[in-house]
Amino acid sequence: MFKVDIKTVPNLLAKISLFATICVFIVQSISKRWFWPQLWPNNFEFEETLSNFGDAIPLLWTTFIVAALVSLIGIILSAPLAWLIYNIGQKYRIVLILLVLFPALIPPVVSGVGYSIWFIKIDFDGNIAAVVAAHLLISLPYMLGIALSILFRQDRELFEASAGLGWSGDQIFFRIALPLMRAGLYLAAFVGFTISWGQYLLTVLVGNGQVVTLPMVVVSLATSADQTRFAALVLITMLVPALVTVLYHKVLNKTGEYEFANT
Amino acid sequence: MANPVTPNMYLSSRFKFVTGGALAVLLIPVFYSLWYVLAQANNAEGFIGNLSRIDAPENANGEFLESFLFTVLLAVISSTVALMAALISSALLVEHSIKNKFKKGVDGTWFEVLVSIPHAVWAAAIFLWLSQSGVLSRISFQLGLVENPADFPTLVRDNNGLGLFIHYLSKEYPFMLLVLTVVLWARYRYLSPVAASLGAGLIYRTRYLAWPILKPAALGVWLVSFSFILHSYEAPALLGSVKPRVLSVLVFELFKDPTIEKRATAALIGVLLLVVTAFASLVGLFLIWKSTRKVADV
Repeated sequence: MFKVDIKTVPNLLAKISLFATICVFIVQSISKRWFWPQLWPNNFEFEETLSNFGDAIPLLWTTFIVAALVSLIGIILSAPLAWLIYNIGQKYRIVLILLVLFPALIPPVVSGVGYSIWFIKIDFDGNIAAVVAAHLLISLPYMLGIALSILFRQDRELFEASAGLGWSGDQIFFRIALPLMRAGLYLAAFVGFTISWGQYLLTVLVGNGQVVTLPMVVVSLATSADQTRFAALVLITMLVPALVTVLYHKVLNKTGEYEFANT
Repeated sequence: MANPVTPNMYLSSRFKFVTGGALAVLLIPVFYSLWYVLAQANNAEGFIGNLSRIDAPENANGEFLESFLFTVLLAVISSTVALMAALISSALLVEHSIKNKFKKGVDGTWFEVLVSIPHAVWAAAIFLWLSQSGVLSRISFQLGLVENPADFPTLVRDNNGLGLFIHYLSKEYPFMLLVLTVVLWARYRYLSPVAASLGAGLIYRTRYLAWPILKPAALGVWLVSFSFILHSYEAPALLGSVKPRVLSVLVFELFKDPTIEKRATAALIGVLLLVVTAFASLVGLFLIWKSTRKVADV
């Protein structure tokens, strides 16, 4: 008999909600005129679906480039910033932490308008670099938080011993602190990527209509009549972060740093 | 003897200059945004004047107070229900992992996938399932429960925010669960078998062992979730009702208005959102600090 352990119900619910939603979107993306109250579409249109997926490639590319750059620049910045905060005197530490976390406190609708006007002022608006900068500002607090949390778990004596052996601060950072932070930086990169991937409002405001990403088109098509195209774009927007999640786990498994996730 | 190694000696002047400089450059747009929104909020009749006339027809036109209460209530209820569900689920999953001697702890991959899905996309999925012409409505027709789409209850774009509540519950729950299981697994896996061998039952272990471990993290995730919902735009834009509107949607609409009064009102509401978030963060951080100290004392 089919038996369900109550303790595994949360996992089961997550799988069902995810698979059911993906299945409905797949059906919708290949359906033609799927009207209420049909439970199953009467007509299927594969050519249009293929063309919809084909049309999405430039959008997919732009969204991916932005998210990948945010992820990369985010870890390049968060590692030294975490090291600076870790080592700076107690009274400056709290100020630095508040400064870095501050962008996360501002509602995106407010910061988006502010960034947009600032970028127009310095003639930097409406391009991928501006969108990356805006996404970075909202992702960095979370990425830095992860880098800091792993750095504060390290034994300070390790760094003191290296200093005692005559290593310079920069050598300790690059040769000891950075490798110790590696697992946290993978997670930070993953978090940065997913935050940027899902950004809608900041992209709309800072991109000035010149940079178009997948979530922007998904939101604009949500209430349109072209539900086949909408479903195709939703599927792509949904599946890429899911694949990145799987990839992140593979990287952790391969590098043997899975333990980080559980400590 | 004093320790000859001082923390600052790990930081060369070049390192401090480059890292600090990068941070300063990054923060320029942030502080400009803050200055801009404060200046805009001070426009027209000034802070106090704008605040006292915030719901006047030329400003928020009677929408502010209703939207504010609706948004805060939605954020509090969604975060609290998601937290309750996540607390119970994390205890169940960690107990399950301990019982089955899983070395890697709770497998959270599926929850991570759910968290990684953008809010706009998940809101679209909720719409597809719950709208009056959605999948559940079609299933209801096949079961003979409804005869036309209007018979199906309004679950999205409804005045009570039910669709938004379902959206936030289904998105915040996996996020909270992931954090709580990691926190619980780190310490509870060692303490629980010891407590069990001393005769502590499941309820006793949960009350006196799991809850003190989880409390600071629970406060933290509640706070993150509350702030996120307060600021969120995508889901309310897709699933929210026309009246009352969620504050972010109202702010965005007012910002787009060309009149100076409406822009000043938008900026003022933005400042109020920032103040509420900052206040909630301070209270939350104080409570986290207090409960962390209690755990450390134990």
